[in-house]
Order: sequence, then C-alpha cells, then structure tokens
Amino acid sequence: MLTLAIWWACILAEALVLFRAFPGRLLRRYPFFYTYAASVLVSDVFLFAVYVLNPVSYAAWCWRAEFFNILLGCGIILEIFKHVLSRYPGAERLARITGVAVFSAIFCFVLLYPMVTGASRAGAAFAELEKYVALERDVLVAQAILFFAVLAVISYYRTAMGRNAKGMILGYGVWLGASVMTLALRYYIGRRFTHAWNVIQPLAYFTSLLIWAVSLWSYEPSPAFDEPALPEMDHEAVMATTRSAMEAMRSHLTKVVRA
Amino acid sequence: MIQLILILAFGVLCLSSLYFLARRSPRAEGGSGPLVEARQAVLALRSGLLPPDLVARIFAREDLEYVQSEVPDNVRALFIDERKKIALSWVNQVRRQILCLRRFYLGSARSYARLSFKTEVELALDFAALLFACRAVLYIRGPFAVPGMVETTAAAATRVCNVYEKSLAFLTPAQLGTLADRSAGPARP
Repeated sequence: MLTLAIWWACILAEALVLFRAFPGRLLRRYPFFYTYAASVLVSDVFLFAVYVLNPVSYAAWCWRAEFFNILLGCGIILEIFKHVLSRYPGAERLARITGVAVFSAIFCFVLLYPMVTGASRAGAAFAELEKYVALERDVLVAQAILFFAVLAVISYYRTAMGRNAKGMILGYGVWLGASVMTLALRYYIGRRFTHAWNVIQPLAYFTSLLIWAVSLWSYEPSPAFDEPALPEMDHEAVMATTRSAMEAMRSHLTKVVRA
Repeated sequence: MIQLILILAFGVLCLSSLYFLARRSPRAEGGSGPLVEARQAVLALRSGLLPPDLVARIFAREDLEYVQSEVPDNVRALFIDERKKIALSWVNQVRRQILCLRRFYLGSARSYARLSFKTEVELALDFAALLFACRAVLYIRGPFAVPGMVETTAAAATRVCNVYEKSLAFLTPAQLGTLADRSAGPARP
C-alpha cells in the first residue's frame, strides 16, 4: 500500500516537473533533462498499467524500463557540461579528461575482473533477479563515479551555477547516491532487504522529483560571467613558477616529515 | 563485504558532497574579488608575514636555548606555550593568504583552454599537502622542531609572491580601489 502511494506521488511529481517546463520554455533549454523526465513519466504510467493488468510480466518490463531510463539519465550529465562547464574552457577540459579516464578505468575493470576472479562463472548460479540487481548496481556505480568526478571539478574550480543547474545536480545526485547504496545492500543482504528497498528507493526518487519541481519551477540560468575587463594574465608563466615553487616545498616537506 | 563497504562509503561521499554543493553560493568566485584579494595577499605576505628577519625571530632556536638554560621550568613552559601560539598564528595567516592566491590561480586556470590535466592534479595535491603539512608538523612537533621547513616554506612562498606580483603589476592603486568597490565580498585586510 505504501509502495503504491509513493508510486502515485512520483507520477504526480513527474507530471508537475514536466508541466512546469512549458510556461518557462524550459524544454528547449534543457532538452536532455526533459527527455529523461518524460521517459520516466511514460515508463511509470505504463508500468503501473502492467502491474494492475498483468502482474506476471511486470518484472521483465520493469528492468527494461529501468535500464533505458538509467541510460537517459546520462543526459543530465550532458546538461551539466552544457550549462555549468561550457563557459569555463579549462574546467570543462579537465572534466572531459576525467570523464574519459573514469570510463576507461571502468571498461578495463569490467574486462579484466571476470578473467582474474572467474566472476562470470560464479554469476551463472544466481537467480535472474540477482543478476539484474548486480548489473543495475554496476551501471549505477559507473555513472555515480562519473557524476562525482564532474562534481569534484565543479567544486574545485568554483564555477557559477544557477538554480536550475544546481537543482538538476542535487536531485540526480540524491537519487543516484541512494540507489547505489540500496542496490548494494539488496545484493548483499538478499531478498530479506527487498521490502525496505521497495520503499527507500522510490522515496529517494520522490525526494529528487521534489527538488527538481522546486528548482525548475521557472527559468534561472547560471549567473553571468562577471570578469572585469583587465589585461589577460600569462597563465602559463604563473602556472610554471607556482609548480616549481610547490615542488621545492614538497621535496623539503618530505625530508622534514621523514626526519 | 569489502565491495559493499566501498560502495556504501562512495554513496555517503556522494551525498555529503551534495550537501556542501547545496550550501555554496550560486555565484562563482570570479570577477574582481579574487584579483583584489590576491593583490592584497601578495602585499600582506611581502610586507608583513614573510620577511626573513621576522620568520627567523618567531622560530629562533637560540631563544629556546637561552630560556632552557636560564629560567625555571614553569617560565620555560609558559614561553614554549606562548611561542607556539605565535607560530600557529603566523602559519594560519600565511595559510590564509596562500589560499587567496590559490583562488586567484584557479580563477585564471578554469578559463584557460589548454589546461594540462597532469599539472593541475599535481598542483592541487601540492597545495593540499603543503597546507596540511605546515599545520600538522607544527602541531605535532612544535615551533622549534622545524626551523628549516619554515624558512624553506617562507622562501618558496616568497617566490610564488614574486610571480603573482608580476602578474598583478598592471593593477594600479587607483584600479585596485575601483575593483575593491566593485567586488561583492569585503576585501581582506
């Protein structure tokens, strides 16, 4: 009953988020985000109908819809690049390199891990549901690592963010963090955790929807880039000398700490 | 089990970083604020905090040796305690000014299209290690244990100051006043 209530609340909140996109013309400004939002709304309504009319086939449809929406969720990271980082070429470059490095590392891990541990053979013994849980958890962990890396670059360079972009990041982060943790617990504890999982994950998602509904109520772009009209710095010279000074300090500190 | 702990720790890290993100101001630390702060930090470091005589005096080992040989234990303990407070205060002020310079550096770096990933990571680690180690070593080993470190840190900070001073040389006192008025936050002393 509680799960159904949260489900309905989520559908209403998703509809509200999409509805608010029209007066502020947000659809055109954040196309990837609203593609994701529309997709989860359609999936939820469709899955609810399946759940009522044909409960046997619900699980199969549910996992397909989940994976499709998780892939579309990457669009939110694209929106972050477009609206938060694009005005800062240096920070954007660093975030891009970090993203590629993270995905390369994950790809290598996925290829090498089963060879080293024989995990794929052990996996064959799992029930179908367990395999889906493990797969969803792994995909979400990969996405969360990328999301966290981009967030670290944004925080480190203190780039400006409007209410819309901040809300997108917070909402998606809450859902992603909660999902990764609950899926890991579900995989480790097993079916005993299913009941809690069925409540915690939709509640986290509902929280995200509320954050999105509030932060995307109207259009509020990132603040204008308020850089004074002053001569350009020679960044390379500043960087090179800062670096050599830091190296000198570091080497001396190492000696002192070891002494 | 290890896998579970790692994933849970990562989830907590993600959620806590969101908390800090939610608390931060929507504006970037851009504009004229860091420029003015960096200029003032260079001046403060040059004139007030880094002169070799001052650094040598604060961390002078001869003072300790004199007090150890000539005065009672309670006075010696009081002297060490007071000197430690002065040293910590000095380190904190230098640290604050270096943070201003770092803000200025990051403000310059984030708009620089040819940024090197390796250099940025190294610099970030160096800044972090330096700021942490200054404080940690001083707390753990006391103001007299590391005179060499302090001198080197001060000398290196002076070199950094020189570079930033050249970069900020175009700022005349008149421009500085105008920018200080324009910047959002209060200027640091």
